Amino acid sequence: MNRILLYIFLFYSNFFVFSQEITGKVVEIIDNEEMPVVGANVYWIDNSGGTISNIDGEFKLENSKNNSLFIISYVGYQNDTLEVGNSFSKIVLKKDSELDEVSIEYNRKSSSVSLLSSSNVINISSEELLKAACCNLAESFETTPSIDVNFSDAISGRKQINMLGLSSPNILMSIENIPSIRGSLQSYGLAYIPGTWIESIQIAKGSGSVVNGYESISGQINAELRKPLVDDKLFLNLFANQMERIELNTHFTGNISTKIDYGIYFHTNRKDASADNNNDGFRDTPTGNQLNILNRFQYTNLQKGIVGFFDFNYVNDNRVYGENEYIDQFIFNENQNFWGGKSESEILKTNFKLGYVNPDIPYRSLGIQFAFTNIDMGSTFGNSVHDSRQISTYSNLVYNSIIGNTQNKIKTGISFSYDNYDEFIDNLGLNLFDISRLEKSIGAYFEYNYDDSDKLNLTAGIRYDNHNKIGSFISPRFHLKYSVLPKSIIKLSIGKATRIANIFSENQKLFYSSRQILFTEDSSPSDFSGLNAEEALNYGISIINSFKVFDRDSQLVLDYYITDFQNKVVIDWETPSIVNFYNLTGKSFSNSFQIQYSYNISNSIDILFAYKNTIAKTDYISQGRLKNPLTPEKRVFFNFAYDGPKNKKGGNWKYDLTYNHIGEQRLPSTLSNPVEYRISNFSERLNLINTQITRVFSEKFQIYLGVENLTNYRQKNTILAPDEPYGDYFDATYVYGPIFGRMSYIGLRYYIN
Amino acid sequence: MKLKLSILMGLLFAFYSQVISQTKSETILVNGVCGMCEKRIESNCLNIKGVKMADWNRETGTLKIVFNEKKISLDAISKSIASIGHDTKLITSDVDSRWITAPDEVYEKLPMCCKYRDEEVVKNHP
Repeated sequence: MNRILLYIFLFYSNFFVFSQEITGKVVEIIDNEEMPVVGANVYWIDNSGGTISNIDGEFKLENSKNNSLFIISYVGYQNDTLEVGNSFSKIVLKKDSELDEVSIEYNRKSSSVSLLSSSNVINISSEELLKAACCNLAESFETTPSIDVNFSDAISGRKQINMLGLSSPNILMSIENIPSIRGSLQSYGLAYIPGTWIESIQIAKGSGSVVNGYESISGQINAELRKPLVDDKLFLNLFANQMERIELNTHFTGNISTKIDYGIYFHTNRKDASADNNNDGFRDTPTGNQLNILNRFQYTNLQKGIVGFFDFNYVNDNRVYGENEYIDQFIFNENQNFWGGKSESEILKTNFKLGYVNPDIPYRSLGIQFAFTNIDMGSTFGNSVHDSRQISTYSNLVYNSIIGNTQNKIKTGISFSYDNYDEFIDNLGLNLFDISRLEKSIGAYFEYNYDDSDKLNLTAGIRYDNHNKIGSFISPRFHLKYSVLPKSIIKLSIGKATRIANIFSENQKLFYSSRQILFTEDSSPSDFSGLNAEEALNYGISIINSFKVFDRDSQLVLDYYITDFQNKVVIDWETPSIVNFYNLTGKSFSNSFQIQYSYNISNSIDILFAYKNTIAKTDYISQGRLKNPLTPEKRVFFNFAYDGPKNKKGGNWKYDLTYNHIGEQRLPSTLSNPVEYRISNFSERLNLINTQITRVFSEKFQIYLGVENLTNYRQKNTILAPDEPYGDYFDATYVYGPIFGRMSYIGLRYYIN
Repeated sequence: MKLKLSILMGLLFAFYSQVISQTKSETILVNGVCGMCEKRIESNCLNIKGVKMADWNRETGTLKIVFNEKKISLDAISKSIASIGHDTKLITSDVDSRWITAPDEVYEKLPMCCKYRDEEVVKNHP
């Protein structure tokens, strides 16, 4: 909450009051500037007469009964009684001390389904983010049933997310509404957004808004970063886990002038040692370090209605992974006979955003976004190499207005994107691919929203884009919300999305194997020219019921979403030692059902239960229709959250427990391998528990302690043929569960505001 | 082509500034207490032809209203709000500015939580 310091001072136009009338002015101080208080009540103590301050904060009060005391009151602030006749021109009330803050305590949930918006949006607040162990955007979803978080392979330690049964490339991921985790960043991008930088996350299931582009196939995830104007003056977070990973996050904010605030956000993590707990000869996680700095400037001028941001971000990330001996000798020699590799990334990002709202006509606004990104990533994997350099710019101009009145809102604008890739692949020293390419697009969009502020809220949008590789195409989107009863809401959505797959960055895990990359004849890899753009229709329904059980809030949400691909780049790794990329020849779809029930047991305890059923299938050229690999059909999720009563200093205990049941997952067949290198066609069922306890000592300081994978589950055979990593059967991609066992961690947070 | 475009732009601009000049933004006081009041006040205003925006602030009791002066007057809007049960008043330094009071029979029909003339009800809405 934005705390406004309020002082009321009065000054009399006539120093010595002997007339039958007093005049004055009520002002408040916001950011060292005087602002008139409109509508403050000014009245005599005996109620014999009163008035209200006008638009300039001024008032005139007649004194017919010769009163000596009058009262100024303003909702939200303390009443003050003042005396007439003192010979002063200006009164400063409660000098140097703040008035008692009027605070309303209510049970606010840290994660909630939006009841107002027409699209199916789940909001995750920074409170909810504190429940996850660690530490970056990928790991922020561990307490959110709609998003699945998985390990991508047995070597890189990288996590990936799934929504509606589809992997992260199908989700449009934006940072403050600028599409950000795309292109080359599909590999490690989620790890480059530290959790402590995030203010809130919005997850929109189904097709997103046309404003943010044509790419959202299964949904959109937007992360809002902390804003220097309202952020803590200083924040410090230290974290360490049993795997010798240490992290430091520190932020500080300040202001250059009354209108310009800045924030410096610093993140670093390092892991100098790592273990091989499953004794397969390979380290379970990579060693390495990351340095990540964000410098934000925020310009705020509320009188003129201008808000702007200028951000500068630099990331440097290094990882080393592979066989134990490889890592041990890495510092002396990078070229060795042991299997291993390193990944180095350097990213420079600048964003510029400016919004203008006419303070008199707040429904009309203009916004401009501009982003420039330079990415340089290089990775080696045994004999394989993947180098990717990307220069991207993105700009978007949005105009908001109304038709008639504010029940009919419109958004319209144009956007440009430019991505220049220099991308090279050396596949096992056998094949070289140069897939350098230029992708650019220009698009225009229009979105109409009708909101009767009661029952109906609908959004209809359309965008037209021209892309140098795809040509011209349109993306229609439609969302509708209808309140059948005040507490029963139904939402419908339908939309079309298009995107170009960036096959190597999105499937980098395939390099952790001896698989040979193949393209079917008509899809030459030279510039992806043979691989068509992915196209999908997404439609869904969501029913939200809020009701009281034993006089406490509870909510039942039912979702059903269908994603139907018209085209898709099929990643066929159904034959060991080979991965084949080709255009979809039949059908590919994902049908996802979710039922979620949340209940507020007491002021301190919330529970959330969810069941998900996902049927996702794809037609493969040689094997026919198969369930998508590594996609569980059934998932059960349970979360218990305790947020205890606060003591005088604002301290309390918090406890969080998350249980995940992950059903059977189909694994690509290994039948053609020699017997010793075969694994089951289906994964084991998993039961995973994460838990965390936080002791908040005061508003300034807290310590947290947690355990991930409490039951100490460890997947067997995470790597196939680990003893012969340069042989034909080596493969670290069959990963469906935790690689290392139980992991404990500890951390502290320190705030000054 | 360029000439046509600039004429079109010019026309658009002229049209736009015409629309802007007719748009007036005012703040008045409206009595009320709760979320239901807010909904009632705002949707009543939005249903008046010429009103573009209505935003009632529960804490301050002020209603920010944007309307087309050619189509409707502030006085007519105030009277319309009073006619559905909410007292209104212009914000001026003029002592003579009086409340436009809602008729008692309409006020009586408001739901219990909206009874802003009842001190008890007001107290229960922090």
